[in-house]
Amino acid sequence: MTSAARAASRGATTPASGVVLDRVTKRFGAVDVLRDISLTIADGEFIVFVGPSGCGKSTLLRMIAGLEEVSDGTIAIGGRDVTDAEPSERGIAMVFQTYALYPHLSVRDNMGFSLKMAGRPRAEVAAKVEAAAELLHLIALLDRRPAQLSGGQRQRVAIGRAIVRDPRVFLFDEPLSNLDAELRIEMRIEIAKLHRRLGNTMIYVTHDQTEAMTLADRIVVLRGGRIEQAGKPADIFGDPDNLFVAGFIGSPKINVLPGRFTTEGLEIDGSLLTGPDCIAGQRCDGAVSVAIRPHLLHLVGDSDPGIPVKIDFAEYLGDKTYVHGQSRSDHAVVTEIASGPPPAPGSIIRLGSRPEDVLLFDGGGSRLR
Amino acid sequence: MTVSTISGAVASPRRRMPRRIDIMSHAAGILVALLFLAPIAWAVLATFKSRSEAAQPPLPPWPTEGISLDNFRTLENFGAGILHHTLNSLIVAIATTALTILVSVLAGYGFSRYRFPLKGFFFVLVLATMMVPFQSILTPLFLILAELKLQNTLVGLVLIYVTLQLPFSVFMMRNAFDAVPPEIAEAARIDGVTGLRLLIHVLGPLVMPGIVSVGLIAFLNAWNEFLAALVLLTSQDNYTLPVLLTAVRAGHYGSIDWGAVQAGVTIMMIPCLILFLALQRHYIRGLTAGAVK
Repeated sequence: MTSAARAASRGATTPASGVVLDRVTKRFGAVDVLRDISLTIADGEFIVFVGPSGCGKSTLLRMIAGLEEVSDGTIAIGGRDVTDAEPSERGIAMVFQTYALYPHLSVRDNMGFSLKMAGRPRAEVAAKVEAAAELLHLIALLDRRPAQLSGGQRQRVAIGRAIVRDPRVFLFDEPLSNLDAELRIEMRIEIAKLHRRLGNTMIYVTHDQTEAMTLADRIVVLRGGRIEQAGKPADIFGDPDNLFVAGFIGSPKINVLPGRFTTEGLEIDGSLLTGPDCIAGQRCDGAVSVAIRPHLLHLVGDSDPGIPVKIDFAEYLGDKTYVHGQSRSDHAVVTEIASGPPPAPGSIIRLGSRPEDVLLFDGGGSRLR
Repeated sequence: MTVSTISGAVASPRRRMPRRIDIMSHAAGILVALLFLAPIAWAVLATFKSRSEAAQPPLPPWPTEGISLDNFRTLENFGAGILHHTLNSLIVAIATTALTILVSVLAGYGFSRYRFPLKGFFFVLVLATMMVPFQSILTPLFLILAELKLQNTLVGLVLIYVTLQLPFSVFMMRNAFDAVPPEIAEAARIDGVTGLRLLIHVLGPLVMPGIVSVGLIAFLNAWNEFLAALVLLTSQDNYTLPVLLTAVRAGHYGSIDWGAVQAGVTIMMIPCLILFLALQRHYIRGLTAGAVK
């Protein structure tokens, strides 16, 4: 079956594959691992759950898969409540970080296992396995055992096993973490292509922000069992709701400096910075956190507004150089220099920014807009 | 240049060293192997001595008065015949093995994969029974079997052997199941395979080395067990081989018929050797499974 035919048949037979989480909570004993998670995932959307380890992203994925029980709230897939349904009845397929292939079965049998167990005719199983294997360039490996495959090949088999199930929703649990850097990039692109080709809803868990940024239609940033922000990668990066999201996404990390509004404007360590205007009553009283992305800081002259930074060292990366330094109040500051020699360690430079590039946060870390 | 010089300087003494160690370790290995093999060879050679020669001091160990099959004839003519008693032993050993595997696989699966109240306690309880020397419970076991009308039956003997075999087997099987990554069972669950089907199609093949080890140990223990068989089996027709051998031992006027004993020992070795040779690879994998991640 060609991919076009496959997509067509899916369109004809498979109902909508959106996922709706409604106030989903997970408790382990007295500990709330996830609290009141509500999220609507559209049909065909590529959603990435991202967050530091222990934030509950994998648990949330496993709850959607049906591998973890839901303590409270409901989960619906394709308009059907599946909160208490068995994993195999949810129309999902999952790709595990450790691949979780059946070691005693060949690639062919691994991929066809679910259909065979469901008692489908042998010819149908073979056809579906062949189609998936072709899509993933696994034809030559069909008779091998998982132990005879490389990490990347194993992960492709795991994805193939998921495709054969013809699921409404693909779930990926950190599928690339066990691969080396080069292979990870390769597989990332393959997964992106696969999504375009199949058009299924995909939910992808990772702690790697590059994977999140490049793959996602929408990123969901989790921390401590709560959704911090859900939005398009550009919004998460450029318009974060809070200091955590601002700091979590972006490499090198966003610069955060303590500042305050004076009668003359935004002041950091006694130096003025061109920033957004003060909105009366909201942020002019008291301290704010000022956050600026490294690539949005630039060198300014002595007379322009800017903060002095003492240089520690520079990282040359070929097309750009990251310069690391410290502000007057000993806060780390990183900036990016596109060309030219980096400033010498120990020297002092002045950095400024455009007002629209400066993000302000209150004492609790919430964004001031 | 530097690299080749260094590796050359290091390599030449290294190349000599292993040779001396190799010779020594081979010599030591051969010596130990001989220590293990000598009694077996001795027993097998003594089998072919005539009855009178077998009663003599056993040097040299091989028959000097010509090869004789007297000893096997003695075995054949004793009781219901060696074949009958071998069959008894085989029935007991195979039934013990089958039942032990069945119960320990299910119990190991349960202890490894299911959550239930007092799980840890029950597991320790099962293991604790290993601390009780079974000779000390032989009398109660005998009385229980008598109540069940199973004394002097092979079925009763099988039940006792399985009971004795289970604690260790359950422990082994739980470890074998523990060594299987949980994601594999989860993947199977997503593929719609749970419960008994999961055990048969996915986990069973993965714990096969453990099953082989448990089965092999159960078979050998049941095959070789003597005391319980001696106590529980009263009619000669039901004797298993170890009991038969003590019965056949008594020669004329209190002398011991060593030749017949050696012939019995030789016959008893055969199934064990076959099993070990056929299954040794699985067996070793099973014993070391879970030892190193």
